Amino acid sequence: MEVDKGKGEAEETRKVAEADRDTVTLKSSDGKLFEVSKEAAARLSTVLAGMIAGGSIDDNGTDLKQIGSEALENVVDYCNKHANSIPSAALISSSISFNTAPFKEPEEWERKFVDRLSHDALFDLVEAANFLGMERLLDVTCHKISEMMKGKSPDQIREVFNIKNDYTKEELEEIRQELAWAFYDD
Amino acid sequence: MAGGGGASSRGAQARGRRKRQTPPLPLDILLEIAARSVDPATLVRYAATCRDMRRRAADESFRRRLRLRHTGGRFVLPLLRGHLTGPTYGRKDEQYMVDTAAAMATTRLTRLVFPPTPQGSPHETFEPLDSRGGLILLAVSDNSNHHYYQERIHLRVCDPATRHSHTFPFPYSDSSGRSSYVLLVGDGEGDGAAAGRPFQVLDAKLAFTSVLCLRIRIFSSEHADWGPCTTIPITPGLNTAGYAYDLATYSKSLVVGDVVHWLYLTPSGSHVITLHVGATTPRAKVTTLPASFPRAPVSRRYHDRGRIKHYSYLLATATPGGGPIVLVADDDKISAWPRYEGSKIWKQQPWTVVDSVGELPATTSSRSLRVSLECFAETSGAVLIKIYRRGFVWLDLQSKAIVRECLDPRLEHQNVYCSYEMPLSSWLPNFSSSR
Repeated sequence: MEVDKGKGEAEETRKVAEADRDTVTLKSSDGKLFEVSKEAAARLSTVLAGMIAGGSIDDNGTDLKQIGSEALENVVDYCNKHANSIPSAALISSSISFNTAPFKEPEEWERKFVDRLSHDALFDLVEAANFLGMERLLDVTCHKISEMMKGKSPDQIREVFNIKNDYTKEELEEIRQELAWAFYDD
Repeated sequence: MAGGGGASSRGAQARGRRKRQTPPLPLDILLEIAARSVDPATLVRYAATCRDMRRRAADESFRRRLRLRHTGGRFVLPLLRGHLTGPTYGRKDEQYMVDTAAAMATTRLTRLVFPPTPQGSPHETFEPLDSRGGLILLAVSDNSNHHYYQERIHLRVCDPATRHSHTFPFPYSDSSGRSSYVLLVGDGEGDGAAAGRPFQVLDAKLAFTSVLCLRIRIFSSEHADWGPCTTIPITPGLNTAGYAYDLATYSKSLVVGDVVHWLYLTPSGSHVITLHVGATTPRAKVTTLPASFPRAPVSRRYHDRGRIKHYSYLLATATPGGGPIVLVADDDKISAWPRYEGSKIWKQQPWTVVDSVGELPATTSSRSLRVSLECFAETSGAVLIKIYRRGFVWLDLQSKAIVRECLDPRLEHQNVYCSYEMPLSSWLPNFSSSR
């Protein structure tokens, strides 16, 4: 009895310790495991926050089948860097009401973070951020892509994103005329 | 669980990495990216890539998420709403916005109605002095004595879209000539600013001490007060002492960044005065246009006035935020006098903007036309041109095409105060023919 009780208590404390663990483990589509600060994950990702609150976090690695290991590594890297950087007032306010808050310029480290990524890694990261509901990471990555697209013609944009042009020649001409101001210097 | 299902996707991903083109990014992701376009032109180009993008970009939910931050170094024509106009003489209480934002030939006159100032008399009148970034600067006068001369009592900066306004007293004036009032609008959302965004109002007039000076005062919404009156010598010194020149009457100001420009045309020379207001100690400079710059011969005889050569002048920029150019209208030909690139020296020759306004589509006329240059819209890059006996047209400096027209006979003899442009934050793309 006493032994059992003691075991129960141990179980209990282990559970508490589990609940108190300050990291969560995420598993990529290709089975790689990544540890990320629980606080940062919950703060930066609405999806992970929901999973943590709902208890659907798997200690052996929460499956994220939609995200490849490279993209997940970047997500985790971003979360950990975010946890370590002192959140500025701007970031706090933008995470409260992200739908109406004006965009806050990426911070220096965020800029560096996306600058080192290849084209494809950046696009994969956008998809991952979208899937995980990471508004700030979406802002930072999309901002980078948007800067890359500045001054590009619709043709060049189609090429980068592999968008199929389904306009007729006449429609394209119509758009060009209607929105001529946006097409100078092409 | 561990390791499950991961083995094959690695290879698939590696292949996908070499050729990202398959599969393309989902449309939802593309929209996330497009919604975060930094400038309007890039956004429009996204929409021009395929039908789905255009359809979704015209959607209300997409528009709400737009976060455009700057004009991307180009003129954004759709920011142009129109111009503010009012009676030249007499009653000064009927002002209109000539709204040409919609398609050609659908000019709308919107009467500008301003709420009275607190404790104001019922005979207050409002006169627009300047407008920038969607805000309007007004002079508030008291007309209760029904005098021809109405004393200006307050200044007001208001946002017609949100109806926010901020009213403050006119600065003390030594009453030697009228000041030029320039509205400078800051970036961002100033929490303290009553008009919604931080702004400054510059009160500037020419003064003569031993040299030509600018006497300025600046009201800032941040301090909610006028700063001290300062007298700034204009360098290099010009020998024009004694020549009375009213900046407000003879020149529409041009603002590029934090530099304000005025034309200064004296009998002995043609000049541009610039004032750097951003500097901790504002600096004023004057540059001189070449001797070949066209000036009408001076005639003091009244009956000569109709017959002598007439030119109309306007300050503008050929590129957004670029160096100033001086536009000159000679009959219906418009030319532009630029400076040498990266220099403060004016070129000896102008370039031609349009050979003849009358030959442009929308104005085609067999008669010879006379035009005058009324005002320049700084962020959309368009010039308002008055065609005598016809009305007004907006000329896009970049395409050299007439982009808006308001050929309404009621407007001909009205006073043009300034252009009215929307701020970028309230601009929405208009994909009218999207299906």
